[in-house]
Amino acid sequence: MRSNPVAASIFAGFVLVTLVITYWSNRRSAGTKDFYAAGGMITARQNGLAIAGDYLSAASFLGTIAVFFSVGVSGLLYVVGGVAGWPIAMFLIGERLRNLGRYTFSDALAYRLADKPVRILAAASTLCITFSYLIAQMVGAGTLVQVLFNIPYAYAVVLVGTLMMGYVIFGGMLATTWIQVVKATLLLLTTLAMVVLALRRFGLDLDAILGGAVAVQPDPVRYLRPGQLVSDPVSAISLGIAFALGPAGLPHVLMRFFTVKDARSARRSLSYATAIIAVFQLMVAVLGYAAAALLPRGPLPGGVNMAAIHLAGALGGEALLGVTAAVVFATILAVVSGLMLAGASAVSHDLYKHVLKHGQTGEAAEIRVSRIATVLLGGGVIGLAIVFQHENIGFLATLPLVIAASVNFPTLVLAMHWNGLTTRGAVAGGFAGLVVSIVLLIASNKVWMDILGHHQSLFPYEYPTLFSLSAALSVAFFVSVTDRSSCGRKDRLSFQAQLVYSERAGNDASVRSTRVPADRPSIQNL
Amino acid sequence: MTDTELEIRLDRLRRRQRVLAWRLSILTFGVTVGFFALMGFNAPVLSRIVLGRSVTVANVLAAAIILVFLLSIGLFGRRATRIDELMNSQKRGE
Repeated sequence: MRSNPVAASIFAGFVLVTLVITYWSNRRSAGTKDFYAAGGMITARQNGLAIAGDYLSAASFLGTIAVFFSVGVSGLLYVVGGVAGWPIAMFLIGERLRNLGRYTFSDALAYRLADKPVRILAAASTLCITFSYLIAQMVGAGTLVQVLFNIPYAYAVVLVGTLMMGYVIFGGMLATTWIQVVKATLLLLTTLAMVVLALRRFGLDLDAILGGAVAVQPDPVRYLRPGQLVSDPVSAISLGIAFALGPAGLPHVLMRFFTVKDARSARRSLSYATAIIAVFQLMVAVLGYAAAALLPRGPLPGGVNMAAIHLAGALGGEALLGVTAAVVFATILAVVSGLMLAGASAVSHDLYKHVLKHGQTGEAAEIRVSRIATVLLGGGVIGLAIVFQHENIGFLATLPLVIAASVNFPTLVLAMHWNGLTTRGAVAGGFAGLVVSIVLLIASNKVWMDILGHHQSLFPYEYPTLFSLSAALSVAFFVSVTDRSSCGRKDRLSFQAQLVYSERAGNDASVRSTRVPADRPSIQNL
Repeated sequence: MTDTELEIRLDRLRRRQRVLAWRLSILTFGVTVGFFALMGFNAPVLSRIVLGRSVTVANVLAAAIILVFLLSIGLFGRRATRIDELMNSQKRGE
């Protein structure tokens, strides 16, 4: 595919806007509250857009349309799954997390559980999630830019990585939030424009779009039959669990709950985010069927993942193709900067400040460590993205949701809703979920056979969430109920105070005095 | 309403809200995993055409599930707003 001047100029414009945002954010940011949580001054509507922006990655736009184009109605799994996690995040986690935490979700875990062990667990899962997510996004970005702008892959990866580090180092959460808001708005408007053009092409008749998609298939019955995407029910259920519970455990999304002023705003953010994501997913389904109806059968230039870009060209010519390509690239840029901030915060706030320095360090030193961590993580991700250029890293894209659903979600929900959870139970259950999810993913056919070249996989299913979540919950339960330590007793006794604070803080100043004292045992006692 | 009455009412509403949160979460989780299981089992009912020339049960079901999600957050948000209002009036000493 030749380079597109419209795409190049829009992308250059987006980068310019983001650099202005970063400069403005840098001048407004002073301490850790500004760096990690944008000073808590983001409104619910802005935060809803930013949360939606964090979740609506290039994979959800390009990947879902590609599935509808190539496989058929199985794409509905991604449409429903993309929305499913947000209501659960709102019902069980949003407000309580906002009241209990400060900068990262581990703050909420450490409210009544021992500080160091739960922060080590949270940092381990956060780094696994962000690393796998970042490598997948960076490989995708490099490939996309190579196809769209005729830039060599390595240059594209370095360009994206450098911009990502710049946003985080100089702009912190304020810059990444506003970049997400701008990008989410652009993505929604571009998708809406494509849907309007597609509907006009088919006489404003949704049935005609789907009919057109079915009519051009060599095997129409197969196109309408579900089950083409996931080969067995156990894998399908595991994928459903990852979609339903994973979003409420993604660290870069959870950090956004602290950017608003109170729990009510956190709840309203999630309402906006759910509505935005739902509308987006429905629009993407329409575009998926439109791609199947309008694009020629057979191999597409750049592969099946470029179906959305080719559809834009078919609907609005070179101009819309250029706009869509630039917006997709902007999407990757925005998502990776949010992820990088979450990874850097896990290192500086959880590991450096609370584990290494026992909570005794100045704000300037903490931010400095966060910036150093950003450079190290960014450099590592750029290097790995270049190494993995020719590998099928599709499995990495599923890892974040699987880990989030198997580690962060159960640990957070049990800590907030079950008075029996102890520190030992949380840490043992969390690490069980982490180890089982990673080991089973490596043993699955996607890695064991496709990447490592073995003839038969050790784990017969595609996704392990059913097993890893079960392991996390059962280990957390068993270890907690058998925990007779003094730390465990203290953990259980602190639950009531935590419950009161998590439901009333922000609205009722008197409950602040009920806060659990910070005399928690250290990791050596466990 | 006295402070004590208000506090009792708030406690009752908070308890109900906790129950509602779990019920809606289980509903959302069950509907999602149920839909994925149906798709995974390749249930023939999903490919039956129910609207026009080619809109199948799977399409209608997916749209209905998303609508249920939106209605559930609307219900939860409305109940939570009532609690917020009561807490605000308690704070103002009304």
